[in-house]
Amino acid sequence: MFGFADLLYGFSVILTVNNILYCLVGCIIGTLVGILPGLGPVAAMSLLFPVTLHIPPVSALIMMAGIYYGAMYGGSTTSILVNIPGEAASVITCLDGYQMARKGRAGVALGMSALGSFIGGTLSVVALQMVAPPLAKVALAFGFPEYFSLICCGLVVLTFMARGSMAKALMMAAFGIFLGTVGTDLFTGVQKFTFGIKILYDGLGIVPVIMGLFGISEVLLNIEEGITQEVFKTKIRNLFPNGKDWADSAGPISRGTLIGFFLGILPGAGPVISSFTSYAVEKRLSKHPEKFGTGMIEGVAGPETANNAAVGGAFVPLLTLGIPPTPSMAILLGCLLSYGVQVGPLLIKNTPDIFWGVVSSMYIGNLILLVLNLPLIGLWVKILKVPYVILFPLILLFCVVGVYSINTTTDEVILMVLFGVIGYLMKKYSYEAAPMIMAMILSPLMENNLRQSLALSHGSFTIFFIRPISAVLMITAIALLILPNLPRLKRRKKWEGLEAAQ
Amino acid sequence: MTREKWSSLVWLGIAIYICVGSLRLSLGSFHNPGPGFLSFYAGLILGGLALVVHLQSRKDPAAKREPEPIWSNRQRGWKMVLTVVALLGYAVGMSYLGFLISTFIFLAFLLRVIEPQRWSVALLGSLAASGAFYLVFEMGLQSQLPKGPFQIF
Repeated sequence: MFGFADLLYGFSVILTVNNILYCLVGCIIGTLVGILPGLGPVAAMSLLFPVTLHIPPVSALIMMAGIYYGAMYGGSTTSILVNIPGEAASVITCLDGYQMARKGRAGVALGMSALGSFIGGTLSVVALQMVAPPLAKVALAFGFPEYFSLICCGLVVLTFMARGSMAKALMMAAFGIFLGTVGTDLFTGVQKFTFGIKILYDGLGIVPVIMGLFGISEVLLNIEEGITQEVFKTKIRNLFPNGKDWADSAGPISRGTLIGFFLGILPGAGPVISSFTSYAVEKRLSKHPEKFGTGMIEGVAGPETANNAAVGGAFVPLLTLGIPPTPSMAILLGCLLSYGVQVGPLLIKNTPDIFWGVVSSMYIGNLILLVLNLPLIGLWVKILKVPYVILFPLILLFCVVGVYSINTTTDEVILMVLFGVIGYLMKKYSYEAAPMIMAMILSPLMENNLRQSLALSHGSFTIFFIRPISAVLMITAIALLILPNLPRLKRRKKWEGLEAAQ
Repeated sequence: MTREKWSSLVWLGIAIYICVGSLRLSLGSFHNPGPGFLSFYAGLILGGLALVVHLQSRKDPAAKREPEPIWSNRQRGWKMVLTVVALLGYAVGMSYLGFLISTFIFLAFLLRVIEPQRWSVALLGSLAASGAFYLVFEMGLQSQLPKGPFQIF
């Protein structure tokens, strides 16, 4: 079988007491942060970032990856039992998951969510091990124009799939590109928008911005709106779905795996967009679309499979091109760079222990998570019963300590609070943070590749259209920008927006 | 929609600032782009789209109505503002008072003022949480938290 010998080598890396322990710790922390609203995988990975510097790189990546996919499992528990998403990728699970709980089917919803996540997660690892090595070889042909076009295409896809107005999503992407340019210019050494503030000389820190926009802003919003966190009182039994549930979920799970994996590959899309797309597809394909939102198991199985499958997909651009497609992957990239690992198409060839070790750990991690989320579900439900009054100060504290520990400076904590307020206002005025964050992360790469491409072509933009790979990516991006403005599609998107708002 | 009318104007202002700042940094040429090149075009796109969103929101019939208040409950809104002030104070105070003392004060404030609990719960809870965080992060994970007056230890 394809890559079988390499996979065996990967298992020889993971199957040590230490690495299995790191995988287990990652999965437990991931499930925990997935369950707690306001604290996502980014926050947890940032918190543990300084710790990873004291352990071998493979172990660090195994633990960090465990946190990332563990959070996808944990997020659904809160959505189903509390009707509040534990983390962003589980927002859509609230719709049908909570309704299933109200109808006394909480156990089945939790069971199907864990099993779907396991299937999607495992199959996406199979796809990752099959797709990544050949893609890395293709990626060797990528030059500056191809990288620039790929980033442009990824950002346009992200704005195209935005839940609200595409214009607003594009605005956020443009602002994110600007934020990413802050710092010292690599070509001339000029300070760009740093205002003489030392922490800005190396650019805006990704971690304070992300934790501000997602963690702090969420807590501020909950304080202002007054969160009512009530765990639905029901006995969690019959975790294993029956024959009919499996029959109803087989299609959504297989489609969710494909949607999740392929959307996960795109820079910017990630688990959140994958889960929304899966839900939209299932609703469109269903014979009873009107019943969605009333407790349809398809509405849980599809998105929960998709968000886990997207994790495997998200590793593809990181490990083959060195492009982080999600904020969590950006932290993983930071982790790799801090060890001096050469990221890009040569990573698999030069450091096979990292690639195959992480891939193999994901098989084991998914098994661990299945155990953590099925027989041990009662334990997580107990954590959910901790009142928000106790939880929110702890979430704030985790964010502060996480940001502080990276560079041991309080200036970045202040930066995080500032972005927390910006994130709160963006939520209030319906501006999405995801395009902004992704554009900010990808902006330095984008700028470097744009400037190098233009220098190569003597200032001609045709360089992006005369090279085949670049041309395909650019044309796709342009088509996606034009498509929503065609009258028929515009009407449909408006209708979908209204429906989503309802 | 009325909210969009005003928010788009704010974004337009930000975009103008970005463009002017980028021009000062120098755009360079297409052959040799300068440090302000990418940020200038990002600002231009941001400004252009902000203008589009603003014009669209003006066409909307809802634009004629009074904008909805940003807070549905003023008291809770002020609590949110107080939390932001407390966070900033905590960040600044941490350098002077150290992690343990500043965290205790910060948590006690949240548990007493923002979501009022009994004094005993607020004080004991804050003490326990700040101690536990210190043990886990400073002792366990070696996170080099600020020590403040405890520096001598």
